[in-house]
Order: sequence, then C-alpha cells, then structure tokens
Amino acid sequence: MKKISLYSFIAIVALVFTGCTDESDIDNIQTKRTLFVEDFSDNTDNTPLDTPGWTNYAQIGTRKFTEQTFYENGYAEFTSFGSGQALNVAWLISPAFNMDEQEGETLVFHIAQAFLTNPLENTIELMVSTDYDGDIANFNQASWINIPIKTPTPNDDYYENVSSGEVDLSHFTGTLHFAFKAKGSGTNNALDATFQIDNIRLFY
Amino acid sequence: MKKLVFSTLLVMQVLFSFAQTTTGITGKVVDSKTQKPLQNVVASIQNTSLTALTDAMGVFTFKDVPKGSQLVQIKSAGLKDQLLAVEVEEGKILDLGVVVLEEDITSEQQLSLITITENDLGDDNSGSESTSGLLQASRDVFQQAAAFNWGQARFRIRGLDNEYGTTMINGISMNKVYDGRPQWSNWGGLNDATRNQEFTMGSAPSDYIFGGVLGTQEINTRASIYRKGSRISFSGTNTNYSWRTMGTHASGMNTNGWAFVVSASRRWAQEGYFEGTDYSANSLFASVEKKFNDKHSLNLTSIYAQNYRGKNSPNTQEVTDIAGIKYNSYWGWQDGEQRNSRVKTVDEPLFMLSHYWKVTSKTNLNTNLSYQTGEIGNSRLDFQGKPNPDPTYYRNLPSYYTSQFDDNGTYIGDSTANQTQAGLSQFLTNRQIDWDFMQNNNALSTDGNSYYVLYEDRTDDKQFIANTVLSSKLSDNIFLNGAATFRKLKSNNFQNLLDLLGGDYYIDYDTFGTPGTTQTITDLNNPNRHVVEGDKFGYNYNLFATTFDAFTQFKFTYRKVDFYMAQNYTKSYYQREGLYRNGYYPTNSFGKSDKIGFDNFGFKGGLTYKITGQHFFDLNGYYATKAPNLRNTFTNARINNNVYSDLKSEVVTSADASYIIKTPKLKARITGFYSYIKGSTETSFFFADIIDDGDSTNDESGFVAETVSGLNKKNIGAELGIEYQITKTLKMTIAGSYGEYTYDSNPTIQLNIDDQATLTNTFPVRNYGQANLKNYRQPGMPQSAAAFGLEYRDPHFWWIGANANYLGNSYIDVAPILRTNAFLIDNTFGNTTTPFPEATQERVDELLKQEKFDDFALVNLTGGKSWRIGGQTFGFFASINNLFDITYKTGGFEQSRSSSFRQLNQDVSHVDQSTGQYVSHTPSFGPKYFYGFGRTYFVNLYINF
Repeated sequence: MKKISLYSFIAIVALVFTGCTDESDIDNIQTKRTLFVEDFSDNTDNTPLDTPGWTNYAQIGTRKFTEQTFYENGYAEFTSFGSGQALNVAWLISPAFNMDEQEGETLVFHIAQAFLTNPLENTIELMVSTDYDGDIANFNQASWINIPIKTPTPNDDYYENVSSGEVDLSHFTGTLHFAFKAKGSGTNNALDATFQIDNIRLFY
Repeated sequence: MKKLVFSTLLVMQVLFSFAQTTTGITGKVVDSKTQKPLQNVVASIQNTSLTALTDAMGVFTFKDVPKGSQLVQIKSAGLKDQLLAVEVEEGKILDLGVVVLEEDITSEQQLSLITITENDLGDDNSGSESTSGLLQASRDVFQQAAAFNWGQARFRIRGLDNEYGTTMINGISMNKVYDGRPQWSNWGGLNDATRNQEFTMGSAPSDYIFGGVLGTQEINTRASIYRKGSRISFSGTNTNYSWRTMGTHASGMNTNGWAFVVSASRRWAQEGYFEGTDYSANSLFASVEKKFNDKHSLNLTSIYAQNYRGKNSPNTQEVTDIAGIKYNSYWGWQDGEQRNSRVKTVDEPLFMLSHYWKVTSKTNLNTNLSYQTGEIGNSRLDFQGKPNPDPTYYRNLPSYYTSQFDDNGTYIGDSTANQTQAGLSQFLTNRQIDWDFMQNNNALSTDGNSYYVLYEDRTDDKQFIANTVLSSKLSDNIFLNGAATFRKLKSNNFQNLLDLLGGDYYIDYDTFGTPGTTQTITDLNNPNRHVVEGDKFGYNYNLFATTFDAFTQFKFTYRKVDFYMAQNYTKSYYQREGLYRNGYYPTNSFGKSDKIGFDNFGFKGGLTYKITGQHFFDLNGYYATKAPNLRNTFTNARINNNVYSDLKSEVVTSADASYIIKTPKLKARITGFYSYIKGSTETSFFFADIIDDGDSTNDESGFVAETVSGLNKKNIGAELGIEYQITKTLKMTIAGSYGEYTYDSNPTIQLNIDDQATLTNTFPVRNYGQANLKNYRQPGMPQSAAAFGLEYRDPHFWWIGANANYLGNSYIDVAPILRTNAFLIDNTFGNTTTPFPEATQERVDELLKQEKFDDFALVNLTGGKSWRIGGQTFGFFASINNLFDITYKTGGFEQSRSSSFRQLNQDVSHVDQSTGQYVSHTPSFGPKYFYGFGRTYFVNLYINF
C-alpha cells in the first residue's frame, strides 16, 4: 500500500518537472547584420565627392560624382548635363569587402533620377569586381562584371528614391568592390539625366 | 448550557445499536443554529454508490451497508460538510445520533467573490479573467484558495481560460457561443438563489455534460431543493460597488406540490474602487415548481439581471506615475457629474422550463427548454475630423515630446524645446474626458451634425436551447449519464448611437476610407445617412449559430476502484449575414456568408483507485477537438463575410493524476496536470494608430483585425491542497500551485488590410508569416501561487480567519506582430529583407524580452458572527482583502503601435552620446497595465427567518 502511494507521488512530481522550460529556450526572430552603411551624411553640398573609402573616377570625359545635400540629407549625384563632352562615364567605387568572413551578403540602395528620357543609353549600372586591387591606377587590369538591378525609369517622379531590390552578392569570394557606373552626354540633351545614389547597405 | 452541548462540531458519539437483521447506518441531521431537523440533506457512504436523503424529521437511513470501516459524508448546500469515520457491524444498525451541520462560511465568502468575477476584464481583449466564478462552489481546499484568496489576482486554475470550463444552470451550458465564456453578469447578484451548485474539476466526470478540461459548475435552481426560509442581507464594500441589498424567500414544497423561490438584489456605486467606475445592477430571480406526482415535476426559472458598469482603463507606466494607480481615463465631468464613456451594459433575461421525470426508481430524465434574449452594450466615443478626445492620447503626454528623434535618427527628446513642450503637455493639466469640449465643438457645426458622439457596440442575442439529461443506475455498480442539446443563436451586432452630445444628427461614414472612394461608405445601400440617437450605424450584421451536442458517460463503482468513460459529439454551424453593404467590400459584405460547419468529437476517461478507505489515487485523461468560437471564425465580421480557408478546430488533450487523503482531520490532495491545446485560432480587434501596410507611415488610427492561427499552448504544473483540523476549533490550510504555461508553437499572423480591398481582391490580407512565440509565457495570470491560512471557529458562533498568499510568475501579453520578421525589416527598401543597421541580436532580444511582473504577497482577513434571537438568525460577515494595500499588476499588454525594431527601440531608448550605451526614456507607446484592488473591505449583515 505504502509503495503505491509513494510511486504515485513520485510520478506526479516527475511529471511536473520534466516539462519545465527556461526563458533561454526562447528563440526570437534573428536579425540580419549590417556590414556596411553609406548614407553620405558628411557631405558638403555641391562639392566633388570625396567620401572616405570611395573612389570617384572619370573613365571617359571629366565628369565625376558630386556630394549633394537636400534638407540635411546627403547623397551622391552624377549628371553629364553641361559637361560639354559627348560622352561621360564615371565610376563610384566602394571600399573593399572581404567576402570570406560571412555568408549571404546582400546589397540594397536607392537611386533617384531627374530628366531621364532614354534609359537605354543614359544609364546607371552596378558593377562588381573581385580582382580590383583598390588602386585606381590598376583599374584597367581589373575585370568588372555588370549585375542587373532595378533602376528608376522615366515614369518615376523626379528625385524619388527607387529601391534597387535585393542584390545577391553571396556567390562572390575573396575581396570585392562594387561600383556605380554612370553614363551620359553633355552634348545630347536627351542623355543628360541626373542620378542620385543614397542609403547603400550591405548586409548578411 | 444545553446549546453548548449540542453545538459540538463532531457527532454525538455512537449511542445505540438495535438488534436488527440488516446492517446499516442511521442518523438525524439538525441545524447547529436552530437545532431544527434539516430535510433533503444528502448523506453518502464514501466509496460506495449508497446515498440517502434526510426526511422531514431530518433522519437518514442506509441499509445493506458493507460491514467494516466506512466514511459517511453529510452535506447540504450552504452548510459545512461532515465526514464521519464509523465502524459498521454485521447485522446491526449503527445510530450516529444527532449530526449537527453548521453554516458554511464559504457561502459568505462567495458574496465577496462575485465582485471580482463581474469585473470581467475579458471583454477588453485582455484575456485577464480569473476562474474564481467557476470555482466558488468547490469544497476542495486548493480550489477554495484559488477562488477566494487568489481570484482577486486573476489566478486561473491550471492556467486555463474560462472557455475550457462549463458553467451550467439546470444542466444547460451558459457559455456563450460567441467567445465560449459564461457571462457572469447574467445572474450576478443572485448569490442566494444560485447557491445550489455542483462542481467537478479538470476533466472529471459531470453528470450533465462532457465539458472541457478546466471543470464544470452546475447551478441548480429547482425550487423544491431550496431550504425553506427567508433571508435579507445588506452589504457595504469598496470594490466594484459600494452597497448591496438582497432578499430571498424560499417557500419549500407545500402539500399541493407547489414550491417557489424569489430573490431580488440591487448593487450600486457612485464610484467603485477605480476613479469614475460607476456601477448599477438590479437582479430578479423567480423559480416555481409544481410536483404533479411522484414521477413528474415542472419547474420554471426566470432570471433577469441588469448590469451597468463603468469600466476602467488600462494605463501605461507613464500615466500611472503621473496620475496614480486608481486613475481611469474613461470618465470626465459633465454638468457637475462624473460620466464614464466606456460603459458595459448587460441586460439578458433568461427563462428556463424544466421537466423532471423520475422514469423508474433508478432512472431520471430532465428536459429543459431555455430562451434568452437581450442586449450587451459597450460604449465608446466616436469622432469625425476632430482631435482624439482620449486624454491619454499619445500626443497629450510628456513622452510624446521626450521620445522625439529627428529625421536622421538623432535623439532630440532632451532638447530645450521638447522639454518645455513636455512640461506643458495637456495630460498634466487635463486628465479626464472633456465632455464640454466635445459639446462645444458640436455646437460650432453650422449644419447641425455632431463631430463627437457616444455610441455603443451592441450585441443583441436571441438564443433558444433545448436539452435532455438522462441519468440511470443500470446496476449496483454501473451508472449511465447521457445528454443531448440543441442550441440556436441569432446575434445581431451593430453600432448604436447613444448621445449626439448636443448635435442634431451624425453622418454615417467611415473616416478612415480614402476620400472620394466608396471606402468611406458604411452602407452602399443607404450611403451617408444622417443618424440620430437610437439609430444603428457603422456596421450591422447577424451571426447565426446552430449546434447539436450529444454525450454519453458510463461510471463504474467497485470496492477498490471507480472508473468512467465518456464520449461526446458536437456539430456546429456558423453563418454571417451582412445587413450593410460596406464600401470596402461591396460584393462580400451584404447578405449571407457560406455556412461554416465543424464536427467535433471528444473522449475521456479516468479512474480512482482506493488504496485504503482514506487514501486514493486518481487519474484522468481527455482528448477532444473544439470548434473555433464564433468570434474567432469570421476574420472581420463587422464589415465582411470572409473566413480563412484553413480555419480548423483546435485539439485539446489533458491528463492529470492526484493523490488524495481524506480523513476526518486531514484532507489533502496533490495533483500533477498537463494540458495541450493545439492549433487554436485567435482573432483580435484593436485600434492601431499605424496600420503598417508596407507603405509609408500613415499617421491615422484604424480598426485592425489580426488573426493568429496555429497557436499551441502547453500547460504543465502541480497543485497542492492540505486542510488540517488542529483542534476542534482551529483549522489550518495550505495551498500551492506551480505551473508553466507557455506557447508551444510559432503561429501565423495575418492582418486584414481593408484599404487594399478592391473588387477583385475581396480578401485583402497581409501575411506576416510566423511569429516566434514558442516558449513565451501565456499571459494574464500568476503561474505560481501559495497560501497559508488559519481559521478559528468558536463554539459561540463566531469565527475568524487569516491567510497569507504569495503570487508570482505573471507575465505580460506579448504582441505577436512584433515577433514576426517584419519587425526586423527596414521597409524603406520595399519588399526586401534589409535589416536596420543599428540592430543587433542582443538588442532585439532585449526589446522582445517578455516582461515579468513583480511577485507579490496578499494578506486577507475574514470573520463573522451570528446570533439567534427569537426565531431569527442575525449574522455578519466581514473581510479585508489585501490588508497591507499592496500594489500589484493583474495583467498588461504590449502595444503593437511601434511595429518595427527602430520604432520600438527609439520609443524606449536613445544612445548616450558619451558612452555609446542605450539609455531608457519614457516610451510613448509603452505597455498598458491592469492593477488589482488595494486594500478593500466587505461587510455583510444578514437575517435569516
């Protein structure tokens, strides 16, 4: 008799304590981590872009990216308007990223346009290189590949930020630079749109 | 002297034994106070199926009792049970002599209890409703502690919601189809008339219904079972109400076979415990029975309880710090009188015709017809194109200024300008609803339309129920219970205009709809109507529910073991009928929806093993599926017919095991329990200031319907109750409960986004994916509780008791939407997974950490005395709850307003520039809390004659 009492008592107590949970068992949603943010917050309005880490390079013609601010918000801008040159190609090259230290790297940013009429020839593109050594003198030795992104169309409102959508960079390894390559004309007024780049985020 | 002799607590010693041929027990039961014989007292021999009723002389007799040690239990509603250990000898009738039954003080305690249960916070979606109401008739020491000591702290037995219990009147379930919970106000204040109760705990068998996993409460209002007499009482308290009067008269059965009971009560308060909570309740009860012959009786019960209760607001910590625990934002002065804008009114009379048929000496059939009709209203203010009249509206509070950030994310809440503005916040000088302001605004209207009105969300139900309950003793060892119930409900839900506040009319349109579209039109069949007081507007629809329920149960009783098994089948049909053609949903709001049907089955069983006559082992198991409640079925019933296609029944399983000791001196029980509710669906409606539709910020307030589906709940724990009679006058009680009530799944969150509705998209839903809720604690109740009590009962009819209680592990109701991935996503990039750059997992975990409320201790005192003067008994009962005036939270919920990491992080903190560490500041959308009563008293004076 006593044994039955004892067993049932033990069974009840055991039942309770086996099911105990701990606060540390809570598995919250996991945030992704941000590797790099550029929002051009230290811009000086209407000056050549010299944001630390970035390389501002005129490949064809002399036009480069400029620093701009609007209501205290800084952004990078390129326009071939008024350059007087038939073809302007400018690059804004990012700092280097080690793509071996994390996985699932993704890039997003905003681009806005104004006066864009011909998005086929008056372009802004995203370029990526894993063999560029960071020295602009060796720009031509590096191989750059184009990655398709969503860019503003003439239908978008002027100066309205358009999200690039997620750009998957996870399959790159080694040292990576990405770059914005803008193309326009200072003589053809159908090809002299303004491009504005802001809120660049690289996360994983 | 003579009295003293008679009033000993235990029985007069065994006196005579007659030389007779049968083996049995007899005795006479008298009232300790009047010394008069008590009729219809139930005597039973424990662990056998033997029961007997006392006759008009108070005498009961058992024959054919097995010889040996037996326990005789003698009990009657309103009187304290007696458990007597006897030794039965072969061939002799054991005479117990005179058994004295004393008044049961728990019936006095029930009076003060009802003040808690009626303050059902459940109607504000807080889910914070204690299970006290259900438990009040229980004699189990643990459950009494749960009801009387812990009920004020919203303790819920086994962590279960009231929808998993069943409250019945005459075998008919009073749980509403709408939310599955009983509406206590339907019979509130009628304590004397609802005193005949039976209670079963957990999934233990009830004779009337299959039931849930929490327990069942059966209130019997059959007129002939009431003890003849009258009672008048008058009470004063400082809880929900200030005063109560109650009168009850029971006729007893007369020689023509008639019996009747009438009862009436009134409870009222200018202001209850919390500011501006006025209260008024009138209750009437009548039950009349005609006994036609030994086989047939008819009984008609009618209950009419009107209840009016000004509600109190849950408040943020900021508001409480400024205005105090008792602060209530719902009221304001109007013409020199306090007026509450959030009033709940319940007015649902109930009629029940019962037929009692004693088919044979071993079989009873009880058939009931019930009809209930009436109104439930919850009032609130509405306004068009004018400032929000809520004094605690976030822009009126200092935190609105002190939690400001500029567009670059820099904290500016400590700027001189913001600090100055914070000091001038409207709430600091104007804390109440400003009725005059609203009336003055309305007077400015050149067209005579009101900008501000008071309306109520109304539910007008008509419910018909028929049921029949069979109980039969198939053999000496086997009992059969069975019941079949048919229920038909029509529920009309609408907005009812209560007060134009000086204007001539109100224009019925939706201020949240996009101007110039049909979205602003609440009823395309009758657009932009001018409505006046008493008109329906806004929304208007019917819900129909038809359910059929059948249940059978077999109980087996043997010397060493009792066991039972029961099964249940329920068929439910739900349907919505829109009476307005809503402008958002022109094609699927007007007319009838599809019929939604559910088939549900349940099985349960259990056994009691009698280790000895005084030691028992008890085991119960339960499995059932349960249809979603009506309120969780239609996703946004106010304006459309939509139902989620994957809506499913939930699956409820439970098991418990108990070890029980019952001796005349010691009663103890320890129980381990486990219940699992799988796949529940919960729809909640709330006003949200931002409807995050993935679009930009939209600083508007809107009505949001959120559906959480696939939520599993795991409740595991143990409970303990010990009652020990130290001396004849001194009793000690110990009760404890330790539980872990958690969520055990990551449910799916969907939000109805009305303004994305189009003619082709008639079910615009944003799916937020899963919310990581697994292992979060279920909210709104202390998950641990302990009580120690002492009670002294003097033979001179006075008694005093004290108990100390410790309550802990109570948690906040977490907002599911904050625990979805959407919380972490910076939606300035559109549909991407871009995180906030400042987000770290450590900070995410800190922000989402479930708030645990402080543990607290409550000390309660009770006492009473009664006198016999002439033919009458006078008495008083007094209690003081929360003697040390401890402030404690009974519940609280996170607001969903700051629905992204950055919003929430900035709402609660900023980065200190010098240290780089987060510094907390007062949030603008902090959690809102409910508080328990501080020190309260309850005094009741009564006279029985």
